[in-house]
Amino acid sequence: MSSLVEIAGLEVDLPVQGAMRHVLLGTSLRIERGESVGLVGESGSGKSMTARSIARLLPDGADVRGSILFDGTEVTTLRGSELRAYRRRIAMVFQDPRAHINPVRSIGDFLTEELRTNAGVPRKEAERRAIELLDVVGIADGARRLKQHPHELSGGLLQRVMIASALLSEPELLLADEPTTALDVTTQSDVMALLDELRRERGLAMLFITHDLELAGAVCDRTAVMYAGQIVEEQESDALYTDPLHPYTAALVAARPDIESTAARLAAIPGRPLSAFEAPAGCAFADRCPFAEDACRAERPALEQVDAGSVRCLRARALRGRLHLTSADV
Amino acid sequence: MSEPILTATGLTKIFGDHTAVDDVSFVLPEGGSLAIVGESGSGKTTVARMLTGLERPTAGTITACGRDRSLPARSAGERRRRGAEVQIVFQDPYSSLDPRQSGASSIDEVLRLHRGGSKADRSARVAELGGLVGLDERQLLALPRSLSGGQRQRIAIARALAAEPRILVLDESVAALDVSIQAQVLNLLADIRDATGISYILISHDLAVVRQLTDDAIVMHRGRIVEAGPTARILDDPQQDYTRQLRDSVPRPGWKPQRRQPA
Repeated sequence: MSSLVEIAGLEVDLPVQGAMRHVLLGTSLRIERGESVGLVGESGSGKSMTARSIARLLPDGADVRGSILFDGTEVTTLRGSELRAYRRRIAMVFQDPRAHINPVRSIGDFLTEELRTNAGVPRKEAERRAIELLDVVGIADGARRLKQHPHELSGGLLQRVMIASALLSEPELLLADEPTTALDVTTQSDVMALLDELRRERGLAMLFITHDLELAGAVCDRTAVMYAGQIVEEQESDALYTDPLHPYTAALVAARPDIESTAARLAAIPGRPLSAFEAPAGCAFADRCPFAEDACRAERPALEQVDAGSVRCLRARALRGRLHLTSADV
Repeated sequence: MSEPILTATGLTKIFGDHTAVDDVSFVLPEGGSLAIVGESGSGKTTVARMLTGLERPTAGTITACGRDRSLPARSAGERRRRGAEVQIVFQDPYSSLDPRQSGASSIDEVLRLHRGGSKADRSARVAELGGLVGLDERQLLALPRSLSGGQRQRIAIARALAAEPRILVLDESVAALDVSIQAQVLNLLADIRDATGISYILISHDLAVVRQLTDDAIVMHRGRIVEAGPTARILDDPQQDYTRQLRDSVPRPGWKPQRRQPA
């Protein structure tokens, strides 16, 4: 059986002030049925654009090349009723729930609209199902909540409502774009536990986008790291710490302050993260990389298989096993 | 321990019938670094706003650099003196800078107001402050929209330092930065403290950042202090349930998210 999602050589250009600008430079990624995959990167790395490409939510005028297969069907060329049918099989949860819900409509209207208008379910029945689902996401007094408006709910509650709405159409893939970044840590823990539980019960696959490597590691089977519009490393989440394949992954882990000890100096990465359109001809990370050689700047490395993972680095094999030591030691 | 540079006693702020800050007291030793930790609604930002004179305490006193600042300043001179003692760096460098003013110009404005000096002196000082936060001349002359988030936050830090404050309030100042940039700015803040002996109040929800930058911490929950002490002790051996819950919610290798008991 084919993978649920298979992205191959995805390139996306977006119009910015009249000119086309690269945002993805050949992303390849696979998500199996029921699997949770993390997508980690800094701002401008292209992680949200990858999710939006899958959801067919790119801005108007986007130029898309390469392929996205969902359950064997090419997604990038879907139109009309086929596109609508496809969209019922996926769902997306965003970082800021308040920006993705109509503030003047009640929670009940929001949750039942899809069922009433597209599936022709009567209002009473749709409301009953909405209350049931609110219960599943840990909101006990659903009947009262349906009458409330978004401003009456806290960020954590509203994000639960968004998760409930994402589950309504019983999707096969959940695209979660920084769903807990705007929440307090205790609420984040709660919402992540909920997502994880629901996902497992329903055999739902998830692409989990975050800037937090530790969070991705805790809830994802595999994690991919993006830099400047490309995936630079992808492997089992735990191995990112113990056996990182790309110098950028190792540098990200090292740069983060540790809750258990105070470092004399943090291992900061010099320079700033690049966006895809700024990427030079060679490896995009070369100018910030302590291991870069002349060859790194000459050609853009291909994504290569290394054991159970893959990496986009010319020196990956030579550096294997040395990266999780701090880069300052080398 | 040296003489405290900042003392807050019984600080309380009531908005309508909501008590945002309830009887909060702490001291910041000269050259020290104190974290105010809490989640949204804990009152930590209201404390920062009272320290910088943006909110007037309902009750309690604030003493900074040996002078009381619990009541609004009575004169422009007094207001300026307070500004020179305590400065603040906000969370969002996208909204805290004037979009039509270059970094150099916004730093120069603070210099003119607080330090004076000839145009040449001031422009030398702008370059010096730029160097301290790692910005070159081209970046200093650019408008905020052509700078990255990390560069903007450096401008905000340089602008705050231009007044040569004794105390810098960092209100989630590194929260919006990418990991690789956040590490640079945290190192920078440590260097500035070593070089100038400035004292920090760090308002943050990020316990790893708190550990990296501060000596002492107070944990706030619903307007009250639930735990106070050395940062390392609070994080390694939290005494209160709430502090423990915060500590356990931080993702780390091997961590599993926990469902909270339904409220």
